[in-house]
Amino acid sequence: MRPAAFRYTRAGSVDEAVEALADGGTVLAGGQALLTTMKLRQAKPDHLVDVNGLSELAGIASENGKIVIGGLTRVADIAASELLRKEVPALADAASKMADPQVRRRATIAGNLCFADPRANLTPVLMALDAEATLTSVEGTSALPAEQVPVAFRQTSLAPDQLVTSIRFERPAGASGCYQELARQPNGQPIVNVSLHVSGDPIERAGVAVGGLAPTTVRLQGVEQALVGQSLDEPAIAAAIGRIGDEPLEPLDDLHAPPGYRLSAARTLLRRCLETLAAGSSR
Amino acid sequence: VNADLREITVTINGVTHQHAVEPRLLLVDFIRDVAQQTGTHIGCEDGVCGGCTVEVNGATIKSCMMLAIQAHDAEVTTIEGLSSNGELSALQAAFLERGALQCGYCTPGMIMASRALLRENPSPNDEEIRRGLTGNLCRCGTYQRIIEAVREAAAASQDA
Repeated sequence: MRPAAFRYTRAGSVDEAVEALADGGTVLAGGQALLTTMKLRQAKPDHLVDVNGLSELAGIASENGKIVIGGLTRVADIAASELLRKEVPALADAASKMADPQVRRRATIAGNLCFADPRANLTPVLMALDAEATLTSVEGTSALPAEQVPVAFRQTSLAPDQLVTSIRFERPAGASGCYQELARQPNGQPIVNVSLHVSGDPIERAGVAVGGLAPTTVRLQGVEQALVGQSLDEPAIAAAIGRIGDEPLEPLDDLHAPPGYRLSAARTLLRRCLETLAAGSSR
Repeated sequence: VNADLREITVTINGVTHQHAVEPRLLLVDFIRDVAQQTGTHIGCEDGVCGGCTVEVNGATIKSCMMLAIQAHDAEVTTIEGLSSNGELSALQAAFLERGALQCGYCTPGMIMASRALLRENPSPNDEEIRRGLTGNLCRCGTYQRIIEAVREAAAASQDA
């Protein structure tokens, strides 16, 4: 399996990268998803713009109450980050459950979001955190909520010349979060995954997102609404889980699991998340 | 057809290789066909089996999931780079000692991945060894002996 021929540019700066993208280029970041689709000839970009040399796009920092993660930050570095393991353990957990060590050393956070596969490991966590992607193009810089990045199976709302330079979210002080997945084996591709972030008791804000139940990773707003104002007792947990399906879902149907099984798994994973947080908040 | 050949320089196990390549050439193909270092194996060609595991500037990755042109100006270490003056590294010796292979096809990748594992975690438990080798498949199923070999190499380096 070899990719179709393409032109290659190694970007020396963000400006150079976005100029090449405006000229019809496609971003090559970690390449762990893109190269696979290119070998299968599902993707045939005619110009790859390699951003791996842009070390200014990699790194994890806490700035003015926000956590900022460079778009090129490797999934392995997210899994190992002391800051994230302490402040946002759900994100570090989701990162450590992704694929294998070799792939995690190449794969990037922006790549995971922008490949827009509904089974992406990090995307539900980013959505539950209300994360925003910072986009740069020749026109300038803008911000887009993570939940608006994927629009269809492996398709994003990004313009072809937009580069995700960073991903940022409020430092979840006093909040608790969780990531749960069902996969065929440890570190396998998730069949269904769920992430939840809540703050306050009773809950003031809830973010809930799920993968594998629709062509994209989606927020579950019905579940979020059911959680606000509640304390995490059994009736509140049961009521929240009952709201899965408020949104028109279209669970994937493939050899791994039929739609009904995925819905059932999502309920179980969400329950595990809620029970984990309930146990944590009662200590 | 090859209108867009690009001159690249890649140092593999200390030897510099300069060659004009198509941008689509995979790093594993450069290592095997250009540098003739055929210890790095191609199994699935799709980032699953780990047979092509090498180090690029110290990061252990799958060389079928990277383009050769991305390794321009980089230092690559393959299985051939682990022994010195015909003397096996501790990990290679442990694999041999334990008979941690049957056909041997996965062995170079297993050893490269184990090397990264032990660098990050010098005394892993069995669960951590299994996790560290998630990206490498052995179709003969010698996993148990591979785990023993890694455990032994870890213990040997602790003694040293």
